[in-house]
Amino acid sequence: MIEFDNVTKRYGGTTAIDRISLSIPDSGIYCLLGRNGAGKTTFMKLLAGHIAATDGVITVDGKSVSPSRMPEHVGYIESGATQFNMKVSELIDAAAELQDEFDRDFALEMAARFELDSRKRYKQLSFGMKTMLTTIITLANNTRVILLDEPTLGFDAIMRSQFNALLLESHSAHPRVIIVSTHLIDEIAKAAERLIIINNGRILLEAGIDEVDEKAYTLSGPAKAVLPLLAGLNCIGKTTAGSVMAAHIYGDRITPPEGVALDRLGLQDFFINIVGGKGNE
Amino acid sequence: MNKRVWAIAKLNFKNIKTAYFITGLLLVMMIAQIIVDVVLAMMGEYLVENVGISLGWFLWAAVALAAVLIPAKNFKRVANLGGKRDGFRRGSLAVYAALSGGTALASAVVYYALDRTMFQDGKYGYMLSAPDIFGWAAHGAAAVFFQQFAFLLLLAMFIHTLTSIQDKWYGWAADTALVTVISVFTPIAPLRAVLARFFRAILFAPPALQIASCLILAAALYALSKPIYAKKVV
Repeated sequence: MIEFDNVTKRYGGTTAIDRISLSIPDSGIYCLLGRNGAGKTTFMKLLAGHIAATDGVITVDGKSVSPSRMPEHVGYIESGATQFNMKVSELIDAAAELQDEFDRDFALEMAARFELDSRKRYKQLSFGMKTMLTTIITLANNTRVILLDEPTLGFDAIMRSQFNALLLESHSAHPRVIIVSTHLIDEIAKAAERLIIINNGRILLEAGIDEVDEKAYTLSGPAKAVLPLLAGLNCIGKTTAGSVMAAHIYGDRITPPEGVALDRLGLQDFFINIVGGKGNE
Repeated sequence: MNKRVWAIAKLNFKNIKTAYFITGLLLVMMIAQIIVDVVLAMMGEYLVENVGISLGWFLWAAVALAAVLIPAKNFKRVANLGGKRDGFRRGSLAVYAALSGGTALASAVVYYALDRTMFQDGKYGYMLSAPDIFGWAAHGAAAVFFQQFAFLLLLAMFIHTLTSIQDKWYGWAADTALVTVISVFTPIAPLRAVLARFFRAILFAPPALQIASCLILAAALYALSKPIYAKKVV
């Protein structure tokens, strides 16, 4: 469905995307994770055809993507996208008139579920509600690829949870590729199936979230017991406090010897370690 | 007009309130001034040299402002609702055609009902109106409407195209080229003649030629907006 073939994007002397090759063959909810400036927005804009790649080819359903050939079936919504200052119900009706495959019933149902007052004008909504409305309008569109750039920015914990529910509902009603860029990995993990980690413009990892959760673990115990175990393991970081060591591993789980504990690393800590956090080596 | 183009045209009509407001404000100010002038004339305070600007000119503000607001503010929002680029171009053209038609009609009504009646004999002063200045009135009421409509449509497409490219380097290049053309062509006689021929064609020429010139140029600008919008970043 989506192919990046050795794609590079440079802005002057800065390389935002560096020789990315990636294949997304199936529908699903994908979490695009990366630090600020890692290249997430550039990745999405390239895929939506909003900017041109410096090198390489991007295809959606076999068709090449570029600003002069923007894919019809890719919807991209940037963080903080604005709408006309019209009533919520009028905006949903307008979207339904503009898009042949717009699921108006789904949009109205979601608006009611997330307590969006249909009589309120766009500017009367809170920041979070504005984002939620734009997300609902985007998800009710039956395009084959949806790109959401930092959609939960400004959401409180409850809204983030509602957002995840909305993603799941939408994907269940209309299976397609939904790529969500975010920093809140542990929360999006409740909805997303696969994880794409981008760092310094390169894809560091593309894997299933369950797979990552299973393979990312910590071995902790006396340093003299932990250190010998690391040979042959993919150690993504370690911390030492006195004689105690915690080593973070990504790979098949081992059976640790007595005195060494094996614990789940957690997605957030996995991300911090793999992109070069404090404990990385 | 298909459903999606009509939907974009409706959105554009609803969301150019600033254009309606400014045009309305200008009209109210001018009507107030006309009333004051007429009352003063009735009181014998009238100055023989009193020459006003016809209300018809101020109606043009709606078309010009709409052509700025639609590409500058509405494009992104139409896209956020799932509108397509080609639909936006067509929907915008439909709005400009309707606004130009409405403005030309209202302006013609102002010309025949006000400028040519109240201000014809100079009793309340005189009005500078477009149909007189450009010679449209000499060819009858239909020419006053159609010549004005064609010019306003060209004006709208020109402003729309120029506004649409302001976020690109070639937008700034076009601005610079326009200023250069006007400032360089005006003082040099042969070049000034070229400029004069252009303005004669779009404003002063006989009805058929003037209308054809405006519509052809408007169509060319519309065609030019296709590659511009194909590359326009949402």
